[in-house]
Amino acid sequence: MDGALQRWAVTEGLRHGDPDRTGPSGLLPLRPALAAALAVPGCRAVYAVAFGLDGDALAAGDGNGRTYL
Amino acid sequence: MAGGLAATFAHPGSRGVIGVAFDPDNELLAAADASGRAYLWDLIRGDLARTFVSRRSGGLNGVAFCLGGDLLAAASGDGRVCLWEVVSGRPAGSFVIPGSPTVYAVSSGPGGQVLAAACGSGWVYLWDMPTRRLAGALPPPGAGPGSQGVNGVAFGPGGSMLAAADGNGQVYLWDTAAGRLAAAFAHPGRRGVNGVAFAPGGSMLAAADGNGQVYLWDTAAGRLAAAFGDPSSRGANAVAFAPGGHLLAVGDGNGCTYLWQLSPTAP
Repeated sequence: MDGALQRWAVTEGLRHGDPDRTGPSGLLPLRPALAAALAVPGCRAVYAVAFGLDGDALAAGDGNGRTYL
Repeated sequence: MAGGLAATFAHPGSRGVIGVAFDPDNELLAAADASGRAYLWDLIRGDLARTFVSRRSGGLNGVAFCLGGDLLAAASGDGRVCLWEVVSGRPAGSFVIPGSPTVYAVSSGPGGQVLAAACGSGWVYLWDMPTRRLAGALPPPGAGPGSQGVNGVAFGPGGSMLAAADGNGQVYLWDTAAGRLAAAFAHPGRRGVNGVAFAPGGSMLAAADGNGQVYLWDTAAGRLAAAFGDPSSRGANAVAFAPGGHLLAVGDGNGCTYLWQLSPTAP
């Protein structure tokens, strides 16, 4: 640990998001639609996902010890 | 995306891949394994470029590239962040976190100059990567006997915001420039939050909940924009936005990766 450590703290200005208040705002409301469910035989549980920088590739890490691209 | 499975990377002896990350050049894919190994796949050649092995016991829970892709950081189940040099493959030391039984996730800020680690103690630690010095420690706002630790972290665009997914079902939004907690988002399901991701631009934050739902938060308004999930979900483990922000990938406990199209509701 270093002496320059900055310990941040909770301040009084904390804003609590309220799940009961949905939209509207400048970008809301949204209507998500399921576009695809990707699975291959032997999949157990997908623990990680990441898109490539250009969006052309999607990686998924599975509990079966495989990474799918 | 054209669609379809392009490649399958198998890790012999693996107990599960818990984290994945692309390098900044989009040529390497890192995979963190529960058996304590990190694999580096060459996406151009399509083969395994390197295998990094944690010297101590403990599985790896997440990976992130730092310093423009020169360094690979891995969250370790033994309470450390392991570092390796990508080109040479040599170990580059580790960050030891006192009082934390495990590190659940890591995330790097813009350019990989700052690394955040989510810890089982409920704290999030920040390191300045060029100097390897500990730069900040973010306390668990809801700390108490029931604290479950932080499962995921993500930097917003520009690194000015950091989101932390809490095992207690909260998502905390830290203002990294001001050094204060800016917002706390409570999830309706009150199950642990497993992963978070900012949309490009930072206007939205997606959170993967253990109850199988994905919550989209409007970060500016502090409102819940949408909550959705597949009925067959066994818990949402991870989320990632496509670069354009119009598509959200969700890794699920049922073995599926869901792709959700995000579009505004018609008036």
